[in-house]
Amino acid sequence: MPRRKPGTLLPLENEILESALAMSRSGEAAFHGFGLAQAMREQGTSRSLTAHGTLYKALGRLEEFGLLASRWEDAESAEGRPRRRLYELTAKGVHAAEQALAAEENRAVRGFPRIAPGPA
Amino acid sequence: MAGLVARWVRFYTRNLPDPVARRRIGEIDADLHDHIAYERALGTAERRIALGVLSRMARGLAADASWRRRVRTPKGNPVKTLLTVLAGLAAIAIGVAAVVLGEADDSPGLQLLGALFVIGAITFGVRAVRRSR
Repeated sequence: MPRRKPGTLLPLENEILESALAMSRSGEAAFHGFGLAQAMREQGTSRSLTAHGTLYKALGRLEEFGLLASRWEDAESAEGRPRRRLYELTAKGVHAAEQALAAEENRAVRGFPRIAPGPA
Repeated sequence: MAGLVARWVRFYTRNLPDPVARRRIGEIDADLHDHIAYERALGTAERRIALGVLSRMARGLAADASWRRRVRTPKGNPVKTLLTVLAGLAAIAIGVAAVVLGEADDSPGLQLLGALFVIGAITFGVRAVRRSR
């Protein structure tokens, strides 16, 4: 496994930030692990639901980097089921997510094939 | 299958600090519940749900193991750090001694060796500090 360069995010971590930003913009600022995995699958960044170990390890790292904040949901909200850990993007996380989105759009634009004929 | 996943998470969080273990167990328990409830609401067959849950567990095994190693290892080993510092200081002292003795003995080769010792010790020390951050 390649060594992580200090200060860089892994592709999965960028995907998580982008999904979190999309959910936040659609009114769902706080999200939980399964909800995020579902959103990532629906947005097409993953074909299947992200694995437990992979997902929660990445969420933990993003929280360590200060890009996400988390808390347990209220016990009253969790009647009849296990309490969820809720995550939200921090201001720093929003900025990182916007940067990741911009970088992706940049890559998409640069990768667009030439359709105009070259010089004769 | 949910029972298998629940047993797995309790296994790889054993002997970890209590808040760390409880958090991971709580998150996986909630995820399992939400996943199964979601699939049942869609009418997904139980066998397919079980395979989906098993798949998510299996694909994340390596990440579980590396996460456990990370949270178990205390940040920085004080004895290792002290030994590294002492070795660096010893290398610098030997290098300086070689330069001084080389000058006294009119031995440029010894002076060069001494300088290389000092440069090498400083370079190694800087790299070690950067890696620990």
